[in-house]
Amino acid sequence: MIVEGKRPLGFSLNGRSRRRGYVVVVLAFCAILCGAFLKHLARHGVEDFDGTMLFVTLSGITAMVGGVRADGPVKYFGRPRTALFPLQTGLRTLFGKQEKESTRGEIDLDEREQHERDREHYRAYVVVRRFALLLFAAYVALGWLHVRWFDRIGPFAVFLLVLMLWVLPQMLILWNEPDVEEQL
Amino acid sequence: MKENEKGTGEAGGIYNRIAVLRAERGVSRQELADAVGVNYQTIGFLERGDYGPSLKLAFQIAEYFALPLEAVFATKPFTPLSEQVYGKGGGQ
Repeated sequence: MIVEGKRPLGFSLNGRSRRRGYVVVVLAFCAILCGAFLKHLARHGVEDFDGTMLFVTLSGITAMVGGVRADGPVKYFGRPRTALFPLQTGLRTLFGKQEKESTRGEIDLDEREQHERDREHYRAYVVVRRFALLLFAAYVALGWLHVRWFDRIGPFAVFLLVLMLWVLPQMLILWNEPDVEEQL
Repeated sequence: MKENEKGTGEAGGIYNRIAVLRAERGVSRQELADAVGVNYQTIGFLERGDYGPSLKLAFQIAEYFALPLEAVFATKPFTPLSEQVYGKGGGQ
């Protein structure tokens, strides 16, 4: 599942301990970001909030761990990319441009890798579901208690949820990928 | 070459002789992987019994070695070839 030869941030990902170290670095980066976000919310509140930086950082983290349209260390999960709009494909055909066959996508994952991908996605789904349930329970409980605290950190909770949805499967793959001492 | 004696866990009780057949015929993991359309690491996972192949992949591997499916895969551990040829005790 790991793309061979990739060195994100100069890290060699050969070896499980190195991959786990890389995940820890990414998590530390996420923690720093979350801390800064919370600090901003505490100081300025929700009203004075601009999500541009969060969007940029989220894209950066996604690129660090791989996944959809990001050249990270984990193999591309999706189906081979086609043109964005059907019209685009039509125009290309009209002007004689051959559709370039994607070298990334489902074809790069064999059945074992697809199985692994699905398993890690399910694990991530279970974690995110629990987290969402916890948030919902906190939201309801604090509402009963008439505590407005949740309103203040609401955007942070949503951001955390989105972050988990985006990068957790890739992180789990990086974390769990076994070392294979293969001689060809 | 040790035959897959695990056949548990991820492999779901499927045993195979891929490693033995490969060694016998001098086929590398990469060659076999290219022939059946999987990553070479997947061949390693199969040999160690860490992964149970789909029916399609099992047939492809058996076809590659030109052997019937049951000669390559089984639900019970294979008897070592030395034992089959020389009997228990290795012909002492």
